[in-house]
Amino acid sequence: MAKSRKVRSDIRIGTLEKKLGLEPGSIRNPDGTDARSNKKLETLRKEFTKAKSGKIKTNPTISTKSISRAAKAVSELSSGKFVANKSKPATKVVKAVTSKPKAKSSIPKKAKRAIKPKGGAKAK
Amino acid sequence: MKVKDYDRNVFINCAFDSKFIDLFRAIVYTVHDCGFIARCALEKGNNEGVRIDKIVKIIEQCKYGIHDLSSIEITAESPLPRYNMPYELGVFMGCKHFGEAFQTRKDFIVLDSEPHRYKQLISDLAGYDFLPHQNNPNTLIAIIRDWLSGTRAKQLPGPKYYQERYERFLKDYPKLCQSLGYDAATLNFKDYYALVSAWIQEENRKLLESAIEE
Repeated sequence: MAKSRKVRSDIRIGTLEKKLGLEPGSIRNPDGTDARSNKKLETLRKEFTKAKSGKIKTNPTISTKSISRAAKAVSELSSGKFVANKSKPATKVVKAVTSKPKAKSSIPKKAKRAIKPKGGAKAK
Repeated sequence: MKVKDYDRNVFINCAFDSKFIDLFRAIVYTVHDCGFIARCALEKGNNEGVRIDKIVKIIEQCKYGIHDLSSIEITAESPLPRYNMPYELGVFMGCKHFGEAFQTRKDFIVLDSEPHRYKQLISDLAGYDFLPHQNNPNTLIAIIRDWLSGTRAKQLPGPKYYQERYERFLKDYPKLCQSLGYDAATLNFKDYYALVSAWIQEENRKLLESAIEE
């Protein structure tokens, strides 16, 4: 079977749509607006990589935090790492408790220092 | 003053109760997938001042408007007709007629479930096309896509493209809600909007990646 040539990154979006038989306007910017037909594929890919970190231009009342949460859930679903919510909060709570052992150990140390007699006298 | 995304903002004026939630969600999805920004009264909390002031502020910030008057009918649950939708349509039209220069370029569509019913409801609007959607989300998607496509220089993909994508979104929607701990039936506007925008962005990215791999 003849192997088709790889798409070059300097191809224009309009040309790419024609080449792949997509409807004009199918390829879009990360914020959902029309990608200019003379835009380079390379530029659009860079924009998508940037937008992955939650920089989506949408309704101004929607917080970036909720967009990022939703984006994380969507990417998990599309990559097949879908996890139902039941197990998530439990693991987080356990980690939060076990990751702060210092709070417990500082109290006996302070107590020992206070009990220790001044002037270097050794306890019997 | 003209706000930043004025030319992309679409004001959605329809009922938000459980009976119409499917239609409302289909509108929000289509507006966003067509590259516009859906705005509605639900984006502000109920305890943030007078409701109508918030609505007027949103209308001021939107160039486009989608007004669905299908839910003004009398039912056993609501024995009186609901005037919210026609009232907000009136505010939108007033803004278009008496507003600043950029406000006069406002554009809108009026939807109803049945054709020609408006003649009995609101005959002053004779001459406007009331587009009937028969309470079918797919018909609604096609109507909104066709209208939004006409407002842009570059044509949008056909209605089938958006209907298929919405169908796929609806399949993923319960799973996404489950993973985020949301209730799919009663999800609020902001969280729904965040899901829609993230899902569409991922789909657009996948489309681009698959195009390169082929």
